[in-house]
Order: sequence, then C-alpha cells, then structure tokens
Amino acid sequence: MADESQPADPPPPAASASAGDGKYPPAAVPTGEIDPLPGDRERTQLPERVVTYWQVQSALFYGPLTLIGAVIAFAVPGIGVLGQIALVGGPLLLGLLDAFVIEPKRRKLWWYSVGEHQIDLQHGWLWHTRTVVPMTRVQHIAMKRGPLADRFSLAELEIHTAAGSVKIPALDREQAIEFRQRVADLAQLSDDL
Amino acid sequence: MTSEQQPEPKPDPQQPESGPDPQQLTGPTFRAPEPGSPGEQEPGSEVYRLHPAAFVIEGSRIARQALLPLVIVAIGESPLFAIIGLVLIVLISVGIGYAIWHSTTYTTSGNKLVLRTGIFAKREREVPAARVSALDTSRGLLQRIFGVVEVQVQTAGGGEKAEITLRAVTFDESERIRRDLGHALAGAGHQAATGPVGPSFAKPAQHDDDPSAPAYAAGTGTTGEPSPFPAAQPFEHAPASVAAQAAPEQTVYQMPTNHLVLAALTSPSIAVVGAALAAVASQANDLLPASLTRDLESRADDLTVTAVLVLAFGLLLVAAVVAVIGSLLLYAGFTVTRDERRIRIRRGLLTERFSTIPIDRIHGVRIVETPLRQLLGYAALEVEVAGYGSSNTEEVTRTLVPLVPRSAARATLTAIVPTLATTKPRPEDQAPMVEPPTDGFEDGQLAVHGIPTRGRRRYFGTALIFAAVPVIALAAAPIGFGRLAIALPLIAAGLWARSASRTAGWATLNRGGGDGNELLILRWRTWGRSTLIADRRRLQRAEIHTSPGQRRMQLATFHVRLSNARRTRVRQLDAVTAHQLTALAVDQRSSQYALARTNSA
Repeated sequence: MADESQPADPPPPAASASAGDGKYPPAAVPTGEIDPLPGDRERTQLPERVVTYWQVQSALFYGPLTLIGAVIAFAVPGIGVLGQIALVGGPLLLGLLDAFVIEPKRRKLWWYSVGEHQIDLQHGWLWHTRTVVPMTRVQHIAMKRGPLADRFSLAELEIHTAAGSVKIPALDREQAIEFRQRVADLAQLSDDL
Repeated sequence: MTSEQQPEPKPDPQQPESGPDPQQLTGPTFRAPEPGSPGEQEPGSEVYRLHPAAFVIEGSRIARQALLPLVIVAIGESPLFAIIGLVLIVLISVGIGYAIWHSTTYTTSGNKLVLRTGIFAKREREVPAARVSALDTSRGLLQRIFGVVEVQVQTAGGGEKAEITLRAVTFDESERIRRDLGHALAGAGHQAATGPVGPSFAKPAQHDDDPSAPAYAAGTGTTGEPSPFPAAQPFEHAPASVAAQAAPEQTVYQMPTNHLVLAALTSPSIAVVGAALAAVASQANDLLPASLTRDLESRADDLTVTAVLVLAFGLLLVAAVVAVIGSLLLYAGFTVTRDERRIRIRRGLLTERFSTIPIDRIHGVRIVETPLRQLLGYAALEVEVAGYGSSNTEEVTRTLVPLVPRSAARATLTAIVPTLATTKPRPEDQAPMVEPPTDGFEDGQLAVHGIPTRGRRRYFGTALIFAAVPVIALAAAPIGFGRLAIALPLIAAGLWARSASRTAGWATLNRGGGDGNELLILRWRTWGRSTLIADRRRLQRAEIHTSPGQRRMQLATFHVRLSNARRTRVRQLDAVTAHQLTALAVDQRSSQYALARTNSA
C-alpha cells in the first residue's frame, strides 16, 4: 500500500533561548547546551486514510445515537416538534461536525518523531499535548489491531513506561512494525511478542 | 526438575539449634518442585511457605468482609441465627485461610522473588531484585500475636499490580528475603532469635573531620576530600558479607514528640474536619441564643435544627479525635536510618512498619506545605519512589519526614537523600547553608524562576471558574445569610490565585562533580504548596499542554512524571521556557550516565 504519511509542515523555527519577539518579554530558560527535541527537526504525520478510519468510528458512534434519538422522538408521546428536532438533529449535527471538521483537523495535527534518545509526539485538535519520552524509559511497545483497523491496514501502538503508557492511535501497519523495531533497537528492548 | 524422594526437610540454617521456639515455626523447607509446577527451578533452590499464622491472618481478612453483610442480614433475626452465621463465617474463613496458605509458595533464588499463588488456577509472579524499589515489613495486631511480620515488595509499575505481599513470615525470614533481594541494611539481619526487636542502631558515625565537605562542588570535579555523605552507587546486588563490612547505618532523623503531636493536629484530614466543625459551630452560635429567648412552640423548627447541629458537631468532634489518635498511632516513633546505599524508615505504634528504600531508587523528593502548616512554618517531606503512588491511602507510605520546620527542610533532605541535596551537608546544623551556585539561588531560600505576568493573570481566570459554582449556589439559596456570603468564595478564589501564581516556578541546579547531575526543581500550589526536587535523569515523561488561549499568549503548562506516575504540573509558563525544560528533562547529552534499562525503574 502506498505510503500515505507525509512529513508534516516544517517545524517552527527552533525556539531560541530568551528570544523576545517584541510582543512578550524574553523568557527565562535553563542554562547550558540542550539538545533540540526530535520533533524540532522532523515530524511524521499519520497516514491520510486515518481520517476515513476515524470517520467510520464516528459514524458507528453517532449513528446509533441519532437512531435512538429518533426512536425516542417519535415513539414517546408529548415531545414537541422542537424536542424532536433536538433529539434527532442534535446527535446528527454533532456527528457531522465530528466527522468533517474535528477528525480531519485532529489527523492533521497529530505527529510523531523518533529520535535517537527520545520519542516525541504531539496530538490534540484544540488542546494540544506534546509528549516526550526518553528512550531509556521505554519498557515495551504493544501493537493492537482490531477488525476495523485491519480493514484500513492500521494498527495502534502503545508505548509503556513505568509512568503509564502513551498511545499512537493509528499507524500504517508496516510503519507500526518498523516503529516498534526501531524503538526496540534504540531502547535495547528484548524481543517481545 | 528431579523429583527424588527427600528425607526430612533440612532445618532452616538461621534457626537456633536449641529447643523449639514457638516463634520459629517457619513452614517446612523442602527442595525439589512439586510435580507439575510451572516453570523451571534451579536444582537445590529452596521453596518456602508462609508461616501457619497465615491461616488466621488471611482468614480474618475474608471474615472481615463477610461480617458486615452478616450483620445487615442478621438484624431482626434471632440471636441463634446470628451465632450460627458467625460460626459459619469463622469456619469458612479459616478453611479458606488454610487453602490459601497451602497453595502459596515463594522462592528467592536467582536474585528474584517468585511467588506462586492460587487455589485453583496457579499464578506465578516474578520480581527481579533489580526491579524492587522498596521493601516494607509491618506488624499489625494479628501479626504481633503470632510473632510474625508482613512483607510487602514494591516494584515499578508496568500494568501489573506493583506489589507482592507475604502476609505472614517470621522476622528472620523477612530479613533473609531482604538480604536475598539486596535490601538489607548493614548491621541489620543479625537479630536475636527471639523475634523482631527493631533495627539496632549503630552509633552515628562521627564526621567531625570535615563537616563542610561539599556533597557537590561548584565547577569541575570533586575536591577529593572524603565527603561525609558519599554519593550512592548504582544498584548492584551485594552479598551479605560485603554489606556487613560497609559503613554502619546511622540515624539521620528521629521525630521529636512535639512534632508528632503537631503533625497529628495539623494533618490534612484534621483541617477538613476542623473546618466543618467551625462551620457547624458558627451556625449553632447563631441559632442557640435565638431559640433560648423565644417561645418553645414558635421555634420548634429551630430546635430541631439546633438538635441536628449539636449532633453534627458531636460527630465531627469524635471524628477529629479519632483522626488525631490515628495519626499519632501511624507516625509514632518515626525514625529514618541510613547507610551508604539504603534508607530505612520505621514508624507506627500498633502496626509497626519498616521500609527499606535503596537511595538510588529515590528519584525525587517533595516538600509539601499544607496551608495550616505553612502558616506555622512547617513542612512534610515525601519521597518519590516507584510503587508509592499518589492516592490518599498511600500518603503515609510515601512520607519521608512527617513534619519538619520549613527552614530545616532542605538540610534534612540533604542528610537523608544526599543524591538530591540542594544544600551543603552540615549534620549538626539545622539551618541550611547554601553555596550560591550559578543558577541564582538566594541565600537560605530556594529561589525559583517565576512565571510571566500574563501567566499569573490566567490563574485568576481559573479560580473564577472554580468559584462560579459556590457563588451561583449561594446566590440561588433561599437561606438569608445575606448576599455578602457570595463574596466569600470570590475572595477565597482571589487569594488562592494570587498565592498560586506567585508560587509557581522552576529552577535547575547543577551539582557539578562532572557527571552532569542536574536537579530539576518545580514549585506549585494546588491546595498546599509543593516543591519537587527531582533528578532530571530519572524523569519518565515530560509533556507540554497548551489550550487555544495559552497558544495565543505564548504560554504552556509543563507536566512531568517520575516512576511512580505522580503527575507534577506547573501552569502558565512561558512557552519557550516549557519547551526548553522539556528538552532538558529528556536530554541524554551525558549519555554515558544514562542508566541501563535494568536499573531504569
């Protein structure tokens, strides 16, 4: 399958210590030379078909919800027209919003980067979270597949550390295997199945 | 894998050869695995069972759970029913206790602890000695009656429950397990055979020769003088003989009685109960005079309310007393001893508990000041160790020092955990003496870089959101406290925001010595003020969170996690600062000191 992951937009110019851009006063930063994070050099996005995958998941969630709303709206007496519109239109609207606005944006903003010493990734569509895990702290990586994910040739990766786990929800299956192998080498993990 | 016939089990070599001592009733020691047991066993390794007291101890746990339902069901039934039920419970629980005892075995060969449990489906749990982050023994009431102890082995997380518990073994056996897992303190483990007497404290080593020898040296490398508190070595399994030759353990902290009482009186749970008491009391004051001056009948409603208030007051008072007594019992005799590699904490009156923690497993420490204690100038010290989590039930477990004057907090930390020292060690001097390092520390105070002004303003926004609920509730309430009451949550929110925004900050401390050991220091306030001092090489994870509003103003929230998964947050940092702190937290520049994976949790 063609590799649909593209490199993300080039990362923003590296944050220079104490750079004041005129708008805000310069920031205090820890002294000394610090290696840039892997995500400051290059980032990899999730494949484009992940959007479709998430849209299907969204439909599987909001579809039944709309149906239930419709059933309630028309089977239960005494609900006005406004209520019926709300019960049916509400989940429908949310589902459409989710599928066509949120999920594409979420996929666009998701990126990961495997450096020699760290794993760097960022996710979120409104609230962004950037997570960095030192390679020496990785305990093991689990790959999860499901029937739906298999149809899209996607897999979920879970990176376990002593402080909980970090998930990459949908990677091209081949890339997931590669990722896992690369991290296993870098983190000197024993071969785990 | 042989199953030859065995003669009588070999006597446990630690037991005295003299007459049988009822307290030495360790279960039979037998070689050779039972046929069909899972896993391979090295030939000659010893497999142990728990002490027979486990019947009763395990059984009582089950009985306790069954007792409440029995009471509920038996209410209203005849006493005979209750008696029969009780007898049944006792029989069943002892029976189950026996089954558990019979099916539980463990072995400590090969530098790991393997525990096999399960009455029907056998489960095997294995913990390598290198993954053990702390080892606790405790003696509750039942354990004391039978002269045994309970052993809890703490490990780093990883999906499984991070703890293995052996509910009943003799004290000698627990020391043997400690030694086999490399957790024995020098000088310990040679107890008299009459049972646990507590660790024997060697005389504190005299270090008068050079009290000012720095634990770290500004600049390049150590001075070569013997430091009174040498840096802990990376963890390695030390045979018992070597451990015995190491420096004897010394007491680094012993809790004075007045601190014990103060700690019990100011503990967080007390504060909550106390606040509730005060609230109820103020209401009672309002109502009582009114009800006394009016006619009984016309104030019948108030009387009922008064009665309720009095009852509530009484209950809360009882709860407060119980909480204070509980704290006293938990922390009585709190003592911390230490040798070169491990610290041992002893505490408790009714339930005596010993915890050993290798110093290099201590990835961070916290100075925690609840508002009441901060007012009085005291703080509590907590240790960040894999397996000691952040839930309230584990508050006692992770306590390193229950109460210490704030001015002596860092000096005490230096004495107990020298790898995380932020002061020069001076064992005889409580006041911290700080060598002004390059990172801008103020004299005597741990100065941290604060957050930018625009970040501080956002704290007020957060506080307002939290205050909205009580404000709305009060505005809508029919009770006529007066509209002035609405001001209270607002004022409280404002005060909190002001304090929290000024408290938030960070610092790094380069301890020099050429190993790039940098301490990351974070300070913040949620309810109480907390300061985290962590070895930045041990951070498991660093995160930067941004909301749309924060992105607009170039702010971010910085999260950090150590191996016990407690999350530490500093909110509203400058985005650039947060980015650089994250990069620092995971910087592997001094990669020759990045720890090998076996040591990493």
